[in-house]
Amino acid sequence: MLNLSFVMLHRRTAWRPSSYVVAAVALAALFASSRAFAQTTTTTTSTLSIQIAGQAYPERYLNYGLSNQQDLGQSTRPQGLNPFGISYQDCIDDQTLLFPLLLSGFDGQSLEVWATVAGDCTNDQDRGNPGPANCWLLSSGANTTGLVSGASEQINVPVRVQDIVAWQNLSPSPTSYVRAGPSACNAQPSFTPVSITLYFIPVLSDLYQAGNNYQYNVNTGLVGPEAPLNVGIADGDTLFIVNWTPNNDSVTIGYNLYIDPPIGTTPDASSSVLSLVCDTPDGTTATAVTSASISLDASGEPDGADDAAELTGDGASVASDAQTDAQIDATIGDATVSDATSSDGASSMEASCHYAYISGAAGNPASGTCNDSNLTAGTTQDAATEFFEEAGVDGEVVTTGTNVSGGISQVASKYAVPVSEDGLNASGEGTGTFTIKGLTNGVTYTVVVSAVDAFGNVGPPSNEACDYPAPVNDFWTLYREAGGQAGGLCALEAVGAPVSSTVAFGAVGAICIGLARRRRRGRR
Amino acid sequence: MSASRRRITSYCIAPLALAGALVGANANAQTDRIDALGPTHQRPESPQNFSIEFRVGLYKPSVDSDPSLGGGTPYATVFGTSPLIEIGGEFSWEALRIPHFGTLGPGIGIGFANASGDALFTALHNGTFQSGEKTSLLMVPAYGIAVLRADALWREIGIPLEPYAKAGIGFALWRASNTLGTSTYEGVSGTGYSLGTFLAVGIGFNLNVFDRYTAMNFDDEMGINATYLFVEGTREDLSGLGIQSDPLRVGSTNWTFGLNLEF
Repeated sequence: MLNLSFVMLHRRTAWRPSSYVVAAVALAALFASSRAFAQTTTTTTSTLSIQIAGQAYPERYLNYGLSNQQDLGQSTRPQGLNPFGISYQDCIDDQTLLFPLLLSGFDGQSLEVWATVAGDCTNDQDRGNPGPANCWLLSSGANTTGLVSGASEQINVPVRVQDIVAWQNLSPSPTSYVRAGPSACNAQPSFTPVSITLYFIPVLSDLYQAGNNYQYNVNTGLVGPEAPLNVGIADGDTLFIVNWTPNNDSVTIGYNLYIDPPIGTTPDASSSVLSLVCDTPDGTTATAVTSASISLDASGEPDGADDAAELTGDGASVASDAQTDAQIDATIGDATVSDATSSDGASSMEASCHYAYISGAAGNPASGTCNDSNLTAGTTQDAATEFFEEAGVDGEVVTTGTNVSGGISQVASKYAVPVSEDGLNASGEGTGTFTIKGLTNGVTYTVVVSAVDAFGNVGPPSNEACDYPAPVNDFWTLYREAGGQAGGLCALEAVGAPVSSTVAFGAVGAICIGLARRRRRGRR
Repeated sequence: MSASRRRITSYCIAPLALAGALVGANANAQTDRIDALGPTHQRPESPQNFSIEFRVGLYKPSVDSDPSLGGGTPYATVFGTSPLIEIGGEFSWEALRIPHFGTLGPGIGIGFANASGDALFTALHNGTFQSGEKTSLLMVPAYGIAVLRADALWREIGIPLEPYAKAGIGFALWRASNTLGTSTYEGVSGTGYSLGTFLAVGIGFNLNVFDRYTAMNFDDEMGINATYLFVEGTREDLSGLGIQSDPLRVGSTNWTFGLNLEF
């Protein structure tokens, strides 16, 4: 505008003195007014600011704004598990992030909160103003409209986690606020974490940005890693050594295991049957005893009395010797059929048996195929399309999705094998084994393994593996049972024998070092 | 003899004498070096007082030889009959030098061997007795011995061999364990020690013979007088030494190989 005035002045060719005076006055007035305008604008933009107050990370709440509101602190996870990110559990719990913001310089503007994955929400167009939006609206706070120029005030801006993650794959993004539901927690199509940026923007009534903004980046991981493959069990005495093929992805940091029945619990009598299970004499396959007389004591366990059993196994070698009567001396988990003779008297028969709680139909072998519905609950994130149809409550439905692996385990926590301090059973992606201890011999357990990512997301369960632990003889047992008498150094430790030997070795070492040093000095 | 003739004669003799002196000095130097590295050891060498051995043995614990086992073979049943690899070391002080023979002095040694195998089910399990659980026997045999080395063969005759013999007391700490930790049977933990005797005879081959110059430098720089490769017949009989009843017989009769440095 100023330039235009100068051009107009210079194009005049005939000037009178009065004209000069008028022109000078006009120029001065124009200059003054333009300067005043510039000062006003500068003042507005420099004093309108948004800053987070007091803490670097927002506080997390459950049931925010309700009577049963619960402050969770700034994180619910250990430092090693991406504590300030958003996990599936954070989302499904419907956490709210509360941002304490210090506002100043507001004068009629309102504060809006937008989110985006790859857009720039300071760009009006990315907020759909106009055009397809790359940012979605999280909150339009009316609290700020009453602020006057120059005033500073701290306000708390709540943002729901589900709102943050819900629309990350929707294009164009919704420009009006849509409250997302739990299905938003399935929005992420891959186990690869996604970084979402929140923009706290002062906007004018015409929706255009009107000053500085505050940005906050949050990593979101809503999909657990793929399940490990080839899970198997090697049995031991009151323990399983569970093995699997380690994952080879970019997110797995360890593994958690689940077992049914849970460690230390009694098998569910309603769904399990105490059965006598025998292995075939020729060691081919496990064979169930389909008819056995088992005397139980008051606690429901075999009472150890001699019982008659009728072995009618389904193994080939047993079938030929069917209808075998035997005397059984047993405790739970350990039974021996001794002096067994087949009914036809053709051959004697020695079989190794154990009592086991068998789920399902009688005769189900203790190992091999297992089908435990308690451990198969998990989502596999292979139907992204389904999510968008469910979550697109505003009518914006995406009909395409990428089939990916991974997901979230829904196995109940009561089946979880107790974890260590880092929240894992087995740390490290490359780990492929874990020993579950504290089991009951003879009880058939089912085990699954889930991979865990850096957000603490537990991926879908693996294939099931089931078996039963059984007593073993280690070297020491065999040695002592054979008559060996050695052992028990603990008693000697009490009187200090190992300590004295250690001291002796240490003394000799010190003497050697001393001699070597003296010899080197002698050679100089 | 005229003065001029004596002068000429002296001129002739002087160069010859100088040449002779130079030749003599050179020959003397050569003699020194050869002697220093040779079997007669004329060269001043660093004092030799100690010996250290790095040992690898094929260890076969004689656990099953215990009469109290009544012919049972718990060790072979679980761990098999293949020998274990024992890694060890030995240090000895060549305290006494016996003229025209060698050295005699005390020594100590320690080794490490571990047997590991699958624990066996008490009854047939899924068609096998072999469980997924591991059981192991860790052994740390040690000994205190007298060592007699006949290094005069090398020092005085030039034969690069050193026969030797060792005899003394053997001692071993051991620990039986399984996947859950130290094994226990009816309240008796699988840990203990065993006493016995240690005997060994062997022969070392002096590597100095291959590169005397390097050997000399090795002595000058590090004080290592001789380096031997050795093979040794070792017998450690840890059956109690008459003062310990029913020890776990983790002793072994086996071949041991290694490297011996004398300094």
